[in-house]
Amino acid sequence: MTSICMYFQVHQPFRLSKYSFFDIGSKKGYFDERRNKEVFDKVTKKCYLPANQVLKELIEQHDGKFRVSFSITGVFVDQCLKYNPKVLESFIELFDTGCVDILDETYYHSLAFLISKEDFKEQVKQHRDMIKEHFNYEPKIFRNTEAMYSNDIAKAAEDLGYKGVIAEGWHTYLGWRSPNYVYRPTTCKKAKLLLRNYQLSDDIGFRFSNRGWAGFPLTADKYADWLSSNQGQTINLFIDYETFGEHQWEDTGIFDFLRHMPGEVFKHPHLDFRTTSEIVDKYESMGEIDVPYICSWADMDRDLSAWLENDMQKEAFESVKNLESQVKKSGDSELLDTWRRLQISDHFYYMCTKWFSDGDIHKYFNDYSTPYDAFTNYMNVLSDFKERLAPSPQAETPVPVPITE
Amino acid sequence: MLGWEFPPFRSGGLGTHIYHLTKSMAKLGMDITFLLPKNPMGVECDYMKIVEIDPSLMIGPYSLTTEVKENYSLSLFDDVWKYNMIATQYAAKLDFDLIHCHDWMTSMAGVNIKREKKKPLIITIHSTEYDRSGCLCPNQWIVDREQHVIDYADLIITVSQRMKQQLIERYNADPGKIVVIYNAIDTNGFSASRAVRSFAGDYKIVLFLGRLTIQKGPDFFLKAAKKVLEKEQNVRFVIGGKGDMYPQLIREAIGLGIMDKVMFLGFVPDEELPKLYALSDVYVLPSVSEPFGITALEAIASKTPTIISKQSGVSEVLNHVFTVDFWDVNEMANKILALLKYDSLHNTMSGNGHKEVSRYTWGGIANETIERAYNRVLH
Repeated sequence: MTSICMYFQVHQPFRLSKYSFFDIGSKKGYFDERRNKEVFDKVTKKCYLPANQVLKELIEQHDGKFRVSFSITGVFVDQCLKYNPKVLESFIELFDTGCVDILDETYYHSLAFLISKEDFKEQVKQHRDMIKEHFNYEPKIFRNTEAMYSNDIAKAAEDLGYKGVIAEGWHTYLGWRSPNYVYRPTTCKKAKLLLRNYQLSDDIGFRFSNRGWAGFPLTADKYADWLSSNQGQTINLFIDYETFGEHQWEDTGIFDFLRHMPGEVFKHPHLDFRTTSEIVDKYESMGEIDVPYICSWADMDRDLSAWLENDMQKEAFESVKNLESQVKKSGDSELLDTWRRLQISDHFYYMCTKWFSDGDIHKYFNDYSTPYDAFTNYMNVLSDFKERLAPSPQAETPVPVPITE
Repeated sequence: MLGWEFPPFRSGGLGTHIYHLTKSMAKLGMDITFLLPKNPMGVECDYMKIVEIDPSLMIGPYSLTTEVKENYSLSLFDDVWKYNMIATQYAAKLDFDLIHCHDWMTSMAGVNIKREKKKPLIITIHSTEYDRSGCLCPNQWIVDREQHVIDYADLIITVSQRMKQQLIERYNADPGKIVVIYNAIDTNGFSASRAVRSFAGDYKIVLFLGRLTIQKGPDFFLKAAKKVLEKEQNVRFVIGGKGDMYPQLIREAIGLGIMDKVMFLGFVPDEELPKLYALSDVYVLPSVSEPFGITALEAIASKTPTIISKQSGVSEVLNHVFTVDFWDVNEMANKILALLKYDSLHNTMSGNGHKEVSRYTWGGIANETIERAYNRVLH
């Protein structure tokens, strides 16, 4: 038996307002409510609600044998509550079918692990509390932002009580081994590692509508055949949920594909669907995986370079990181929330300058015309935030005297 | 080929363009005869034949002499007329395959030679009268010359999409015969290492370089300077170039109360340019209407981060720059401040920018000109 394990990532960042140098000290809001609501409403209409509906129908249609998993960020849920609570209700309804697992991650979709171990733990706990509150559930599996993963991160997750961790199934640490098995992180006693099958995941996520791709058009029966020819315990398909209807528009046929895929899979008797938690319970680890440095699932490099490569990204990240003790000393929960929202990974992603290889996808997801604008805007916001943190008596700006003689 | 300027004589980007283009085309095996108005600075060239025409011609259309009361001197039209007549006569004796002229000053001869010798005519339009006058009061005689050559040329090369669009809209040009070929840069002429400052004072420098005319937007530069100085005093705004707006700009700087932070350099000779770019921390090209904007490439080749107006042709090719609407002085000031304040932004933009402009070579442009323009009219 080989299991198909589908996990969908659900996230929307809080995009920043256009913040000029001249807005510093002006009490202008940091987050662009109009733009955020606009994007949220658009993706809700194109993806979240219709995709949830398709999944619900599939679960009913297949008597619970079709099973999926979700990781939903805290800032996404914040936006649900703010802009359209029905979206959250729709996820809860799906979860209540009993065929859905939910993962934990950092509430703010952040690089908190690189800020401090302590803040990382607090952000994970915040996410845990949020899932408990809305779904009445305690996740067993941990997924770090953008599948950022290392031995240390695995250890931290195990220490927090998680039974499994998500990572990219990348060849540099897998070597000859297949991602279609469950492994154990070398730093963990019991926790298991679920590795993304990037080939089969990206066939849906990136290549589905690519007419230049040999696999085009991707039909449900063809894809089920590909799945059935893979050997192993589990084929992990980890995909951004926005793939359905937003990255791949409805007219590409992505929803029809989703509707028919489970039925086609069930035509192969040796395949079934399992959630992330079930995979961890069901399968024994087949070996150890050693990842001494941080990798991720992004771009061709599968490292941190989409967020922390150029000097701007490093300066911006260091600047927000260095505020930790000051923010925490203030004891102000609103300042803490704002500081963490400024850690959302997307802010740093917008500053990426690796245009010439991975340029297309970066441009697609970029809210700014250039990474330089993204950096400038972020730093202006951060400068204002620093002033809010430590209001200093404003030095009087000397007014230049006009020469009129 | 017919052109009005050739180094060392030049008043805008035209002479530089022609020098690099012909040199690279000669390397690719083109046999060029160049008809140039004679000028007192003389001319030296070892890769093509240059014919100097009429010793009395020495004033360019961008002439900056103070006795010029209007946009153009009266004698200029006289000179242009004479040049075109003589050039036409001279070309009658030559044997060649095609005619390539640059801008309106040489266009009459271009059209005449085409008629007489029945050879294809290509014109490169670097700027139009609408650009040069800031669209305010274009000289109708020049517009007519431009209209004439646009109608008669077999093929038109423009230095940007923006210019192509303008020719279609204002001159009703046939889009099918317009080819866009951008400008390039010889990065060897510019130093990517920071110049050592010999002057006292630890302040940063923001540079404007160009003719002081409506087209180049120096008044917007001053207004942005005022905004920047509200937040940061440790900075000087340097204005290089001459032009009819000079007195007005001085008055404006005084009126804004920033004259002590603004330096007017007057005309900057070619050999001083690389040093000036390398001394500067930010270069701003705030043009109201700019067919291309080759100084942006020069600044970036000198590793000086650059802010260009969205109304410039060069904004179509550059990724590693800031772009801003020429009238949006708040945003211009915001971007200047960011570049002055954040070293990481300064370094990342200048590093990536330098790599980017290094790809725009004259060899590539010469190749494109032959492939996409010459071969097309000849076959």
